Amino acid sequence: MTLGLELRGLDKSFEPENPVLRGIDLSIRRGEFVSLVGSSGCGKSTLLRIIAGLEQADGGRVAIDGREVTYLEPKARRIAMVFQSYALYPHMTVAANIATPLIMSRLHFLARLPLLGALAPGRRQVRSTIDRAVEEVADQLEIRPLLGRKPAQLSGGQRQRVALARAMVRQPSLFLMDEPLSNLDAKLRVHMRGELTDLHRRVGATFVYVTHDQVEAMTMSDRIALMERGAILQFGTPSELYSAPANLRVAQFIGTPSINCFPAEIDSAGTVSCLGRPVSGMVTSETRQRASLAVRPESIRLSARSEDVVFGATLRRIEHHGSEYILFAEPQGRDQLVRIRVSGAALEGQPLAEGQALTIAFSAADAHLFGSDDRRMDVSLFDAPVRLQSA
Amino acid sequence: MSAISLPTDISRRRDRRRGYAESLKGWTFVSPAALLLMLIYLVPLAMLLALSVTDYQLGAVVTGFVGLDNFERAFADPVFQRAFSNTLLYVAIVIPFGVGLALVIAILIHQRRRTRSLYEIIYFLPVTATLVAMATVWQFILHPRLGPVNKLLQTLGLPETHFLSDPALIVPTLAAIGVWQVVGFNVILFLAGLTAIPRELYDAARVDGASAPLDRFLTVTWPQLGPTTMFVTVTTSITAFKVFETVAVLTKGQRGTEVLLYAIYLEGFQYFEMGYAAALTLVFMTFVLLLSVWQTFHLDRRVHY
Repeated sequence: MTLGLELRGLDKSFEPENPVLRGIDLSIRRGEFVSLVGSSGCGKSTLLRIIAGLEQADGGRVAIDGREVTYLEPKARRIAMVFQSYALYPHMTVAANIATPLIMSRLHFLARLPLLGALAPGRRQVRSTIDRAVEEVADQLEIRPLLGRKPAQLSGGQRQRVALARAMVRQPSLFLMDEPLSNLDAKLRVHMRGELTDLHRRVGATFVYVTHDQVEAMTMSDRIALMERGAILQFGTPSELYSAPANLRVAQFIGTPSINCFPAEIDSAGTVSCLGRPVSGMVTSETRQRASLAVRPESIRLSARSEDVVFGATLRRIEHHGSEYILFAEPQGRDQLVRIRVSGAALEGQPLAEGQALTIAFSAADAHLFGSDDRRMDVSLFDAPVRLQSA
Repeated sequence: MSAISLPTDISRRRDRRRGYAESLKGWTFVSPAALLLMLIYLVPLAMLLALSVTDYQLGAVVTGFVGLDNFERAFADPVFQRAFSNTLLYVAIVIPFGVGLALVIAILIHQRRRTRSLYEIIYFLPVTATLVAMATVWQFILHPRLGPVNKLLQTLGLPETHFLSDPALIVPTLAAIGVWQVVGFNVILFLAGLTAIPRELYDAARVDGASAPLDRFLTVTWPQLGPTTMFVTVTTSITAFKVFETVAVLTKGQRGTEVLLYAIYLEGFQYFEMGYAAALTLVFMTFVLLLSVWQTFHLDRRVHY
């Protein structure tokens, strides 16, 4: 099976001592929707520009649909790109904007000239096929009534659609999007998320989508590549990234409110202890190092079971989110706020007040263990009674 | 009824009084600027208008009203007509070359990274140099026997050329010097315009297939430079209409090389015909104003902001 996009060992640095990309490898299946996520400066936009051909990598290869394109100009790569600022040509009408890629590829250079072009043979037939293609795309995106307007007369959402139409009109095999929703207001952004997913399903092309917003990445993508400092920390489905993060920084990046981290130690026997208490039933093959135990806010409970890691805390703040509550609790003797997500139903008949003492608990099965190098550690889980017997 | 009308009456009076105070405050704020505007622009203009309908001569004791005689005289005056057509020819050369050349140079410089400011300084030098002083340098450069330009022409086997005395060549030569003088300023303006073009537009054009230099220019650069080009064209044409120094230094208006400003200067300050000179000035100003307005409105329709 050919890959929609294949990247092998991409390196890039603008200053020699400060590489932007460090050996990026990525294989994206044809028709997949992949997000490149990371905080700003992680190299995701540079990577997208290298895929587009706007930037040349220092080393490595790029292949689109099984065809090596490393040294090809953007126009020869059969790609389309949607920019953060939309980058519409302000002096052209919407129709002319959408038509530009087709005019460039289908009309001979002389036929494109402002005045002389009208004399070129066959120009009118080509122009009419282009006009038809433009109208077709405009119908798909429901912007037909806007075709005669200039970009300055459009709202942000309309400009977004025009930029999408310009990308779609030449039916590329690869769509590249550089934070296309970040200039829209919150409500429209949620709406466009749905539209982009629909569009991807309809067009069936490969999508590479750059964003710093993990919610966008989680909701739209088939797979996510999470980047940090020029490297991909993890490449997997949204649920893999959420439930089995390969790296502490992945765990911290994905999920709102973000994951809770507790310092942990591993003794010579591979037993894990957290906040000075042994985590019952958690054993790892690696020994003797500092580690971190990370627990999702929804995995922390307000009632303890026998095998749980339990500690007392003071409730500092309550956030109402409609159907659920986010509690911020400070464990005794620690300068840290633990985030706890509880459903409204679970709190019914159990009124909480700020400053109140709580018992918070999580079980070893819900905790992720990361080593001192932030990498995920394999753990073996036993039921607490079993471990007690063997001890 | 009176019980009701009384309070409204008082309040209306109070309103009116407050209105006067308000407008007095307004006038006080406006007056410094208004006064300056009057003194600097409107009063001299009014004086010019008044002078143009008299036969006032500098130092004359008696001055009479002559109506539109000065204007009639101007349009019948062969010197003024020649000055007019010479100026038009001069402007017709300086605008396209002064703007076009500046655009080409600006685009070339814009792509330089380290040497950009060096080129900027070099091209800007003629703007800072005094044209009167530089005109003498041009006189030497273009000298029929001593000048390097003629030396070059001779080595190429071309005949000796009298740039500053051959009637057919004088105005184009003056225009070339005018272009040399105006290009540097225009380059800076175009560079500012080029810097303001968003990078993403060029990226989008490349992805869309407009990657050849001419395509890129026609799709992004030229339309985006519209407002700059309009401004540069209008200022260049005004500068060109005001050509004076080179004529005064190099030809002194001999061999039929009068231009408008030089003709005005001769009438006013050599022959002391202030009334006539005022009329010529008025004609000149009206013409430049009309042309600038026409350019602005004509170009404005094609320019996208």
